[in-house]
Amino acid sequence: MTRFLTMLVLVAAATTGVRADSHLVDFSLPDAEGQVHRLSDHRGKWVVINFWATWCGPCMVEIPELMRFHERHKDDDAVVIGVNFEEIETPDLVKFIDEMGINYLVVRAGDTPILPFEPLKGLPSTFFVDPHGEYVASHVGPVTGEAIEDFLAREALAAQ
Amino acid sequence: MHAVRSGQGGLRRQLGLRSERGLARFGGERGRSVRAAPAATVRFARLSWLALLAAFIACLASPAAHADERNEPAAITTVGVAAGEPAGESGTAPSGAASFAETSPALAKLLGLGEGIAIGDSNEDQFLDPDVAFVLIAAATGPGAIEARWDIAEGYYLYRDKFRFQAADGSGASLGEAGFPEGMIKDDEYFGPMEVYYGSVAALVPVAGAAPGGTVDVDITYQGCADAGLCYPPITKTVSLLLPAALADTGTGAGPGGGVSGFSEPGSAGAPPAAPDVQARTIVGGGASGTSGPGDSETEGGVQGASGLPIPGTAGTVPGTLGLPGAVAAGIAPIEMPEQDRVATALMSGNRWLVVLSLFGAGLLLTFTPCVLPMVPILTSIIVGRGEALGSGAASTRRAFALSLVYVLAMALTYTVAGVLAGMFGANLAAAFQDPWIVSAFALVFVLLALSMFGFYELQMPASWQAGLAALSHRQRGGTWAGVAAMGGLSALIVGPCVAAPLAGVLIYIGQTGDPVLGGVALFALGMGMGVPLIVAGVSAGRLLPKAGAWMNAVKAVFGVMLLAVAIYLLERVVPESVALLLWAALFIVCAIYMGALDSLTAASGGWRRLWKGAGLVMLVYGVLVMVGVAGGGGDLFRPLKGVALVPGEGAERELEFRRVKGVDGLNAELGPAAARGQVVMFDYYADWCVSCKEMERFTFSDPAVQAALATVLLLQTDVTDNDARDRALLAEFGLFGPPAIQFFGPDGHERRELRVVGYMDAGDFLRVVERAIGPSVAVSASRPDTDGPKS
Repeated sequence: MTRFLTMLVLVAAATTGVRADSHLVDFSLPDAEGQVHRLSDHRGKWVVINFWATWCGPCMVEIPELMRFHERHKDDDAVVIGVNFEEIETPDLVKFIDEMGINYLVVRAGDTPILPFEPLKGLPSTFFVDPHGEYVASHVGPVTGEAIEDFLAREALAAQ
Repeated sequence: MHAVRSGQGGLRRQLGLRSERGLARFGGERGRSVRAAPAATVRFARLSWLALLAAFIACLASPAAHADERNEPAAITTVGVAAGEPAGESGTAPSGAASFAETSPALAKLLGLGEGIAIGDSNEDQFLDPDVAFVLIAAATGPGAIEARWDIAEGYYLYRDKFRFQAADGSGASLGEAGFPEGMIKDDEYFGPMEVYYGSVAALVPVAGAAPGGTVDVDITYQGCADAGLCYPPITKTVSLLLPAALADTGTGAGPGGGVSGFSEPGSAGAPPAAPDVQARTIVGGGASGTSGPGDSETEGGVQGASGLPIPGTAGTVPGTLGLPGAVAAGIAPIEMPEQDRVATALMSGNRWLVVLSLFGAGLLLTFTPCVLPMVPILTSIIVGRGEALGSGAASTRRAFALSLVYVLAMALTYTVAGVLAGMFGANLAAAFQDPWIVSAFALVFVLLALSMFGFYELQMPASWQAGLAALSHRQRGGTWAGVAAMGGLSALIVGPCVAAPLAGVLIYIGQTGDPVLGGVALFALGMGMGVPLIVAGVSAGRLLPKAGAWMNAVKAVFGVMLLAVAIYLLERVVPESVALLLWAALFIVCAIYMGALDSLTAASGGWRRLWKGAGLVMLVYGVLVMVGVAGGGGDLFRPLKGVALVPGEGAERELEFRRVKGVDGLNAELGPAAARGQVVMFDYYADWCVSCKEMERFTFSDPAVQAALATVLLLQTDVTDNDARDRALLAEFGLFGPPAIQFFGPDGHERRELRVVGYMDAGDFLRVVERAIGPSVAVSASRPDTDGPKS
């Protein structure tokens, strides 16, 4: 029954997805434990949304970069959210996150397209949402912490 | 490596259903996600049947489907604008090698040393679409073997251990182990040494158990990545291969879904890679010609996204922008998901509860089709008939409720049995209900029922049965219940042909899940959904109607007429339209006679008598008008004299004349020349069972202003009533689930996706769409990045 309710919530969340009345983006997705997180919980910071899967080699190489980036910025101006994009059993996902030592939030993509980021061309794909909740940039293929920092610096410059 | 396995395992476990959903979310070719997700085509047969159900429901309730398309483009505009600002800086972006050294050496290698990543560069077009990166060509090499070959673009590779070959369910064939050449060992930074293929690879797969000369459907799965660091999801294609001794050929065209066209012609597959470039360019063009202006964009949702995208001033900077407008704009496509898609999505989500709930809802909706109508008189006559035995008051209501419930339960159980059988055998029981003979037989049953209602004879079970039943019901109430239950089951079968389209969809879906329990529960839910309003009707009949008496004859006569109407309704799909109209006319006229339309009134005639005669006369006149219409070579049940010129000089109303096309190739054959002429094309999807389609014809296409506006437009129509492989491929090509749908193609031959019309639209609104299609905003909208039409 709880699973059913969760599904309902998910479906409701996913179908509302991006709010119609605004250009701000949002989503509600569950983590491996089933707890639901909203993108908008992180307003006030940049959010780096990284779509990945365990079968994706480049994603594996990229994740440590994102971990370092997250570590440097999480208390300051930016966080990383990983979106696991595959069918995977919960214990496997939990185990993977543990083994990898991923220090940022990982949510599951669920069954409904996450708009406006999807459809994806492939993995990894990374999207950038600014502190106001606006979706401003995307990047297909691997990123580095350095590149993200450059990007944020340029954004800051442009904002002035 | 466990990780890889678990990913794959997930795919298998879910029967591919959810996974395909997931894969569908990779959109190489944006805006055509169904095709872009090749795996989705694998089970497209199932999907399209679901679509039938969904579309059927949409037919009933779709005019609103468009409303929610209008919301999203604002986000894109913003992204576009935001993206424009930092563009100038992007050139200076990559920081020096010194800082880069800090990043992972593996990543540095992956990216090519010294080359920093500049986020914000529109880099999506840096990667090929999967169907371009990996071009699959499959052929039978003999009666016992097939060969699959991949041409792999430079800088891309396929994993050896990700290839899968599987004979499609029910094909009877089995595949041996695929033989692959030795691959190249790639030292994957994370997974370690992996055997991969660059350039090209061919595999030989033995086939056993397939009849020579027959076809075998094979699901081929493969997965690969780009050296530059992008991995594509596992791709599954279904190929239909002819297995002759000689003349081995690729796709017979009979393959489910559009997959076949994708890879049996490498030439055509070569076309899409330009798409990303085109996107970038056309966006610039779109912005520059964005003079169609904000005024327009306020009114039409889809177009707003197009013209509002890059503001003209920033157009030139697009290549350097952050926002990847192309990607974002394409991201709308799923948002435009009309109502029907959601139903299908819910069904495909694989969640049992959702499936059951959806079907219950579908059942509720089905109640409001003419299909369930005949059940109301059947049920009420039962209730009323039993009314003699019922007391009155609360006890009677309870009993009416119980009787209704039994009736509905039996009906639902009948569907359940069908569902379980379908689940067990994968059989398509309901499709049989489309057969003209069966439909005719049912129509005959209705006529017989109707005649008995008129009192020509008492329709009775053999006397011995009846005596037995009567004895039973006297001894115990069970007899009544059994009789009601039998009627319920029978009713389910009787309306079967009526709800065949959606039912077929559900049954096939269930058949393919191969899960009798889910099948049973789901169909039961559908039956109960259809039953709830019946229970309401039954209970109110028991409460509201007085006891049986002489008035019953009148009620019976009304029911008889309704039954005859149902018979004609059923026959409509198998007899020519004019014959059906004549039948309707006959029904009206005979009915009118029975109502005393031609009986003379006397001074003593009471008010009711006069009222009946008046009503009868109206029906008589109407019936005659319909007949006149038919005789005049036109006719329409709702506009009897349509096509009949009564006033000299006034021409008969024209119908739109569509050119019929079939399948993707049929469409392309027309689109090509049209684009060469610079002609706008309107493409209409039609099916016999699609109510909205007929409404469109009747009320919208007949409008003179609409016809005038369409004068220069090439009108194409496809009839997807059969829903065969070519129809499904066509629908898949555009990510449509079925009619009602209308597409417009600009003078450049590209679809103008934002102008898609799904569901009924009245003449006024439709006229505005048409005007947009032929209007001055062509340049902008035609350049929408997600409008790439089928390549010919």
